[in-house]
Amino acid sequence: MTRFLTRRIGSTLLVLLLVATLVFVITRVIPGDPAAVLLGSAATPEDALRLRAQFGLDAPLWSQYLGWIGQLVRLDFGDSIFLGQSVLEALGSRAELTATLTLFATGLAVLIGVPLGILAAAQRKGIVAQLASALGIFGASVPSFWVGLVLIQYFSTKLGWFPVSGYGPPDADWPTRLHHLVLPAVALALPNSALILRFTRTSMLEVLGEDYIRTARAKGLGPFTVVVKHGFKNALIPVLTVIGLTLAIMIGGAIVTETVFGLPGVGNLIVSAVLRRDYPVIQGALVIVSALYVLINLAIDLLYLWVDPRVKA
Amino acid sequence: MLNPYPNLRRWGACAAAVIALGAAPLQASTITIATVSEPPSLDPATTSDLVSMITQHVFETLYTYNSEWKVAPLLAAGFPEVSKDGLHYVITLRPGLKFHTGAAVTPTDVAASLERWLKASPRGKLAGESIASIKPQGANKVEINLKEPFPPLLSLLAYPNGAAAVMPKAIAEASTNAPLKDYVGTGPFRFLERKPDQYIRLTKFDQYSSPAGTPNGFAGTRAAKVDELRFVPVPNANTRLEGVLAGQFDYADSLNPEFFDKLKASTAVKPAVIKPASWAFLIFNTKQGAMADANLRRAAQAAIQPEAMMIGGFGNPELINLESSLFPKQSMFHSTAGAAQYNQNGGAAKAKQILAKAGYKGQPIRILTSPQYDFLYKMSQVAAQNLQEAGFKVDLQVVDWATLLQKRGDAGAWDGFFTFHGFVPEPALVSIVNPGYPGWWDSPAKRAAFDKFSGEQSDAARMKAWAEMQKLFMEEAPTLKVGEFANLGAANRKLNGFTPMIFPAFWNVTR
Repeated sequence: MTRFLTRRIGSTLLVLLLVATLVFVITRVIPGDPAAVLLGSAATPEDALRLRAQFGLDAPLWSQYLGWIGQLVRLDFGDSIFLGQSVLEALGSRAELTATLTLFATGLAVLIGVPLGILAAAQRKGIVAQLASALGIFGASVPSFWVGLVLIQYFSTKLGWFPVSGYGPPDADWPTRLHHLVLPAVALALPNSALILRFTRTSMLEVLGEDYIRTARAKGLGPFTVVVKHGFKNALIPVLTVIGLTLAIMIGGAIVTETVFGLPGVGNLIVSAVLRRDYPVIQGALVIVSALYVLINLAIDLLYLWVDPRVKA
Repeated sequence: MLNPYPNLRRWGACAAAVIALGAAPLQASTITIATVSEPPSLDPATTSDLVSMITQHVFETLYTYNSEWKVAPLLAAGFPEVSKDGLHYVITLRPGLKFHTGAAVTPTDVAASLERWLKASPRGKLAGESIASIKPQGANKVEINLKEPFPPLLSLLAYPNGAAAVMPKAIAEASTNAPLKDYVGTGPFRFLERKPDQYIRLTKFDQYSSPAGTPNGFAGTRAAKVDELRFVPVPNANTRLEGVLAGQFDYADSLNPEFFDKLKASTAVKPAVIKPASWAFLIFNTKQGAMADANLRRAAQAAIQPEAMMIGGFGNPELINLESSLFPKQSMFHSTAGAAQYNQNGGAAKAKQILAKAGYKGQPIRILTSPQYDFLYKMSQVAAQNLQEAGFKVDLQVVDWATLLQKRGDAGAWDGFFTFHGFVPEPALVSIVNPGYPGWWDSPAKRAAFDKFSGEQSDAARMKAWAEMQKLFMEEAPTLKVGEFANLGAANRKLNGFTPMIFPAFWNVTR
C-alpha cells in the first residue's frame, strides 16, 4: 500500500513537471502578445515593447522558464497581467463555481445515466430500454454548447424560469447561485449522462449473464434484489471509472459551458486568458487543472482498492 | 434592478418558494450592461473601446464632444484663451470640482494628469510631440505651451478613448509607468468593485458637480439617475441577446447584425443602432514586400468589391454604408475626393492590366484575418476571391486576434491585414495617418500633405487640406476602406433617456 502510494505520488510529480514545461513552451510558441492586447488596436509596436519590458516579457526565454519553475517550487503562480490579482486569487475566486458546477453536473449525469443504464440492461426489450438507448445516442451526439443555447432560448427567454447568464448579483446567496447553475449543469450533464448510461448498460449486461445471477434468480430472489444488489454491485467498477473520467471530462466541458452561460468560472478564465495571452494565468491554471486530473485518477485507483479487494493483490 | 426574477410567478410554487428564499431583497436601482468581455484594464488612457465605455462614467476630461462632434467644455469652465500665435493655451477649471475622495480638483492635479496622458496614451503621445510644457497657474488655471501650433489639441483632450482623464496628482504620477490601480476620477459614478469576469460596479457619486446645459452628445448636464451601474462581461453574443430579451440585462453591447430583425420585432427591447460607428480596413504593408509597390495596391483597389464584402460581412444593408471617405457624412472632414476609385465596376479587368504593367510575378500576397471578428473574416474571404479573380495569388492567413495584433508589427511577416477602425472626430486620430502604425504609410507626398494639413488653423482651411489628404489616400491606396458599419446594441424599453452613442453612456438614464 505504502509502496503503491509512493510510486503514484512520484509519478504524479514527474507528470506535473512535464506539464509545467509543456505549458510554458506552448504559451510562448503561440504567437500573440499580451502587451498589444492590453494597449488596444490603435497602439504602435513601440508602445507594446515598452509594456513588454514592464511585465518582464523581454527577458530571454530560458530565464523566464527558470523563473517559472522556481516559482512553482515555491507554489507561487505569479500575478495576472490583466486582472490586478495573483493567479491563485484569480483561480481561487472562480474555483468554487467550477467545482459546484462540475459536481452538480456529475450528480445529474449519474442520476440520469446509472438508473437508466440499469433499466436498459434489465429489460432489454422494453420501451424504457429503447428510449434509454436513443437518449444515449442523442446525448453523445449533441455538443453541450448547443444544448446550452437551446436551453437558454426555451427555459430562460421564453419561459423565464432560469436566468440567462452569470452567477447572480454580488450579494446573492447560495440558492440564487444554484438557480443560476441549473441550466449550465443540465447542459453539461446531458452528453456525459449518455456516456455513463452506455457504460452502465454494457457492464450490467455482462454481469447479468453470469451464472451466479441465474442462481440468485433460481433461489427465488426478487428482480430488484437480483439486479441491484447482486448485479449492480459487481458491475460497479467500470461504471466508477467512467464516472471518474466524466468528472475529468467535465472540467474540460465546463470551459465551453461557462463561456455560453457567462459564468465566471475557471473555464471562462482560461478561455479569456488564452485570448488575451495572460501567460501567468494560462500557465498557473493549466498546471493546477492538470494536477486535479492526476489527483482524480489517483483517487479512483484508491476507490478500486476499496470496492474490489482483489485489485490489492 | 428591482427584482432579478420578474418571471418567477410562472415557475412552480414549490420551486418559487425555494428560490424566493434566495432572491435578493428589494435593491437600490441598478442598470446592468452586458459587455463583450472583461476589459483588459480600467485605465482610461488605453485605446480599447470597452475601457472607454466603462471608464467614461468614472473619469472625466477637460473637454468633450456634443452630438455633432464639436468640442464642448466638461471639466473646463469654457474654451481656452489661446494666444495669437496659437502657442499658449490657458484653460480655466469649472469651480466646485471634486474627486471621488472628496478632495477638490486643483490645477496641479490636472497638470499631473495631462503629463501622465502624454506618456500613457497613444493620443497623448501624439499631442506630446507639439507640447513644450504643462503648468498649473494660480488657483484654477492650467497653461499648455506648444512648440508649434497644434490645432487638434482640444479634439485630443476631448476624446473619451485614450482619454486625457483627470485624476489626483499622486495617482497620476504613480501610474505613469506602472498599471493604474486606483480609479479615482470626477465623474457622476465612482468605482465600487471589480470582480474580474463577473462584474464591475460603479456607484452614484453624491458630490458630483455637473457641467450646465441641456444634455447633447457627451456634453451638457450629467446626472447619475440610478444608484449603480453594473458592467457584466458576457462573451457569447447569443447569450447577450437572450439576456437582454429576458430582462436580465438592461443593455447589451455589440450584438451580431443577424440579430437585428429579432430585435426590431421585440416588445421588450429596442435595437440601438449606433451610426456612424466604425469602418473596415484592408491595410497594406507599404514598407516591405509586394504591396510596397503602389501599383499593386491600386490593382487591389480596383479588384475588390466593397459592396459584396460589406454584405458578406454584415448581411443586413440597413447596418452598412458604402463610403470611400475616411470620414463619414456626419463629419466636417467628409470628402468625395477620389471617390471614383472606390467600388469600381469591372475592376478585375482593370486590375489585370495594372498587374501586367507592374510586372507582378505571382508572389503570394499574405493577408492576415481573424475569425474572432466574424465580419472581418467573412469579408476577407470575399476579398481573397476578388483578388484571385484579378490575378493575385492570395495567401489568406487565419489567426486569432491576439496573433494578428502581434504579427502586424513585423513588417516582414505580412502584406495586408484586415481590421476595423472606430469613428474618430479628428484626422490626427485616424490610425493609418500615424507613420508608426503597422502599414507604415509614409510617402513624401503624404508627409507634405499632412504637414500642410497640420499647419492649418481655421476650419475651412483644415477641411480643404484634408480633402487633399483624402485624394492622396485614394491615389496611393496604402489602405482600402471597405465600408462603414453601425454598431448594434439592444436597450430594454424600460430605460429612459438612453441615446445610442459610440461609447454608450448611462448618466441621465433612469430605469
